Amino acid sequence: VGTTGNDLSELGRFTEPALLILVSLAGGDKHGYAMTEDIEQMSGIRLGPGTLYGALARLEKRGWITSLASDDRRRPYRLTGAGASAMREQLRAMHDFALAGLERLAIQ
Amino acid sequence: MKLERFLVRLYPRAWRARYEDEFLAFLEQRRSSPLDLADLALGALDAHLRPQVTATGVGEERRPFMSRTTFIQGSALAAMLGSVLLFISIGWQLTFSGLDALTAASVGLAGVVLMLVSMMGIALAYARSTGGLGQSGLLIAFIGLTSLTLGSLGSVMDKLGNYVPAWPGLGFLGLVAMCVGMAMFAIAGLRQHVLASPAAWLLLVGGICGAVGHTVMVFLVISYSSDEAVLASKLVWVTGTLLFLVGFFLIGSGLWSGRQPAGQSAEHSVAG
Repeated sequence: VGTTGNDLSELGRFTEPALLILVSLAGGDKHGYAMTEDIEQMSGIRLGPGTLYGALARLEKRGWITSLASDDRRRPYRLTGAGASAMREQLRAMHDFALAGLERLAIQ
Repeated sequence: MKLERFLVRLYPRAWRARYEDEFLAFLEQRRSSPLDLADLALGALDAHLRPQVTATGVGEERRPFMSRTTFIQGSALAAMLGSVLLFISIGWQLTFSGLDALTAASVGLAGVVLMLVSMMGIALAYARSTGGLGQSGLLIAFIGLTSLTLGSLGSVMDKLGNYVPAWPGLGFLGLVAMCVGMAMFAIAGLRQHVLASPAAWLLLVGGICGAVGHTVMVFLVISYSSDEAVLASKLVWVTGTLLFLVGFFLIGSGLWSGRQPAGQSAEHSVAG
């Protein structure tokens, strides 16, 4: 598995779905369907099947998540240390950006 | 689930070896909306253009079979050649009506197939920079060109003496969807300033005239309206479609000469 750094934005249009998946997995191991339910409940966003698995493949390729063995056809996924680190970096950047925006609003 | 299974089969073999079982289990668990089906089709296209899984497993990079630039230039060539062939085919059938119709239909089919192929490169170059409207337009145009390809194939079969009942309908719907989709793409391109004005305006005006003229003509024909009215609507759709094809050619020539929106993804290769 090849890791390529910590920048989620390198995933292009899959950046947002990938972040949603990482946040969902931060709450525990989940298979695809459980992830989409969790994400929809958390953010109101319903990921399409192609988008979900496009993002999962990219995350797995970068070593940010790993699949677990299962007797079921539904395979669960787990957040890795590298994935947690990439997620933290992205959330901090978003937090800083949100703060900057709110500070500007407060000035007006 | 039949349609979902069919769409999953469009994914690359290596991708399916890794994800098919769990993907089907996932799809069985929830009802797919039309948007989900479109998302599945786009996912298959993405998995072919930017494979994340190879025969040797997830994450091992495959050597790109073609650079992004080469792929786009190939598509540009297909767009230019395809639009010229379809232009010739329509012009031919107008000028020499009834003469060598099989050759005209075959030239038209070749043109439509090339235009369909070129849509991959046009989407790769412009989909991201033209936003939701542009992406929806490109998807509608792609579906339209697929339908038009089947309709054109039926037309060739018809000239060979094997009439396929569905082909006129497929051809009509395909042409209208292609014109409407590319007109939407042109609007998005003009708004985002990523398309050259002449090409975008030709696509927009030609696309609208082509779609409206063809729809009106079909309506007039099936309602047995006067020959003059049918002729007038035919003139509108033919003029519109020919202008549209000039616009399509210009989009291709723009791509060929390297006029593409800046700031594309870091994923530079078609297979990377």
